[in-house]
Amino acid sequence: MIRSLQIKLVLSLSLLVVMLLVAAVMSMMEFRNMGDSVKGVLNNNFSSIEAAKRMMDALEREDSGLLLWIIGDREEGAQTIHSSQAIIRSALRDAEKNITETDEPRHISDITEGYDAYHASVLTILEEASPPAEAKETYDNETRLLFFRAKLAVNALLMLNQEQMYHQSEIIQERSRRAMMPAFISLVAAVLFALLLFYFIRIYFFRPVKQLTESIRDYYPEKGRLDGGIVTRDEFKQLEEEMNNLISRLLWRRDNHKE
Amino acid sequence: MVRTRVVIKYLGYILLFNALFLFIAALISLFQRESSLNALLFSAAMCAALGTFPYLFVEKVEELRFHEGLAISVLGWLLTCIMGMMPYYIWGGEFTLTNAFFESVSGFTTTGASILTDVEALPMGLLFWRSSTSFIGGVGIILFVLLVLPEKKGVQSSFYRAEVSDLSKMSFRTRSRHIVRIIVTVYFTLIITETILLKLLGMSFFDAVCHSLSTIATSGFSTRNQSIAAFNNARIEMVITLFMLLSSMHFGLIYATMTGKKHNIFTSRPSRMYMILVATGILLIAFQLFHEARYNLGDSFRYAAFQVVSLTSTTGLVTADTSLWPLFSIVVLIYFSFQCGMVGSTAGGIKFDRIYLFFHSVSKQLKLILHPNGIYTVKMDKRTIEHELELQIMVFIILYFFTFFVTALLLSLMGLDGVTAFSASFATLGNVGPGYGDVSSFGNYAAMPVAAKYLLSANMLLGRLEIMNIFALFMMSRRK
Repeated sequence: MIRSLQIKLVLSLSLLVVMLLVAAVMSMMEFRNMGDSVKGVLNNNFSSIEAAKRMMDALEREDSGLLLWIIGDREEGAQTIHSSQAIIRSALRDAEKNITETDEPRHISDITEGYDAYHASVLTILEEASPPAEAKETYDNETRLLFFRAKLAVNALLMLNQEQMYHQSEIIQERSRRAMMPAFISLVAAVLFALLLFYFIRIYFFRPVKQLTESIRDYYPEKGRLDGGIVTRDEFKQLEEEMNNLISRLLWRRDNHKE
Repeated sequence: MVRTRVVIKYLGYILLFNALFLFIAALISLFQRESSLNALLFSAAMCAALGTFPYLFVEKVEELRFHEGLAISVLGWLLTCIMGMMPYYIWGGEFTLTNAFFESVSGFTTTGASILTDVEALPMGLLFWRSSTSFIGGVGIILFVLLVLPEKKGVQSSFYRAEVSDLSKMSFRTRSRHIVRIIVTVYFTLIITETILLKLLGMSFFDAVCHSLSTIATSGFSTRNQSIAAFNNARIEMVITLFMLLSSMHFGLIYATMTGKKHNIFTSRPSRMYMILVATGILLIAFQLFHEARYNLGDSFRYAAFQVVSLTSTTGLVTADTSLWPLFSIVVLIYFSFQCGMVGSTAGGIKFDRIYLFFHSVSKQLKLILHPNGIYTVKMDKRTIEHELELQIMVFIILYFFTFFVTALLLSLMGLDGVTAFSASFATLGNVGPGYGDVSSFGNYAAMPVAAKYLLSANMLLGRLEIMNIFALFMMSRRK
């Protein structure tokens, strides 16, 4: 059992410091985790979403290029088709490098397959160089359907990553709550701690001071010993004992002086 | 006069005890690399810091007054429940502030009522903490603190008087200071034996430990969404049924049976009556289930036995949806939810011994009407029951039903349907867990209004502290 009031105070304040430190470390760790999650979302899902959007744009441009080619603007049409193809292949490579979800490889493979079929159909129209009416018929009967199939596959990849991003944002929201919680609870605990400390200071500091003051005020030499009513064995008990020693010495001197 | 600093000191001990289990749960989370690690570690640190603080200041106490023991007992439970919700609330998920408090109270009072719709989503560390709350609450945190308390006997006996009922002390037939050791010995023996048996029957070690803690503490918390039904294993169900039955019997009698004493669970009259009543309940329900072709004969007994023992022991683990059973079976089950286990066990509710003595008192009163000058006594296992204890039992039963009706009334005012309101009231007051309506066997308390969750939490605490202690504390504060 610790008897010194000084040690008691130092230890109790150290406890408070430790408690606040733990809360701070926990909050920092959670915030760091949150930062990692945000970075993860940007690196993984957002890149895939960007790649899917690039594919979608390029796919639509390729289709527009084909329609241009069919209505007679063959040079610009062909150019648009080739540039779009390069963009789609590049976006597909980006998506392949950035696989983070379980279903993602399947979706990328669907896009590759769908786009290959569509692009092959486009090239067939270009190679055959049929008159516009015939080319349009091939487009309506075959190419357009393949275009929609490829577009659906790209859309599925986009949806998958968007859903995952939404899910990740929920996790981040939860993490931010977890990061705040230790700070909030520490605040409540610190208030509780302060109240308890105040209570103990009142009991173990102010009360003995008051008791000793009152006993000194009511003291007269005939009483003999000074009774401060201190029950603890701390510095106040020592003070009471020393005061009694002082009284004894003073009384002894007074008695000897008389003699 | 209650010395506040002394009460604070012992509340600190209780927090330190909680901190120990939180650290163990944090260790599990650490090894499993789970998201609950920080929540558990932080809660443990908070409990340890707040628990150590009063220990630093308050000097050793020579004697504890009865009122102080009572205050520590009631406030200790309340504080434990509040601190116990911390890891849930910090972790988040389905745990809002209200839900975290409800789950914590439900665990410590061994009710087993849950707000979780997906238990399996919880990390292992939190699942362990959830089972630990039942373990701590099973025999009562005060009894655990008594076991390790470095204080004088004067302190221990005050705690003991506040925590263990007079009726419960009767069947121990030993000195008070041995009783705590007997209770804890039986508690640990049952938990260890059940864990080994469940492991041998194919459960994972973690599941076996959690379910043993849950069974022996009669809480009913499971690690699975479908409770014990998830294992679909008749041998596991048999083992759990046996241990639920044992946990609902007087631990003093179990200890006497284990040590070969004459006065044991087979020779004690209330104990024999209790077993006969449970067997009758099983037979009646099994017969009806078989007669109405709900199950074959074997399964009728299997499901009836599990559900009857689970409810009478106030465990609340389930293997079948009893709300789909015939009305007569439901009524029998409701009776067992009120009657519950025996005193001196971990079960909640009115307790069989009280009902046993209640009917003997009624019979005594009837005899006195016929023969006003006659001298009649009520006896339990050849021991005469004092008139004061008889009155105490009557008052307890009246208060129990009064609390039950008031809670049901308030719940219906909150917009709950009649079946849900009444069953939630008796299921929480008796610390049973599952009821009927929205809170049936496979249902939960998630959809309850916020006010209802707090009301039911108070009900669980009232039930666990056997009502009288809380009322006594209120009287004490009013007298001040």
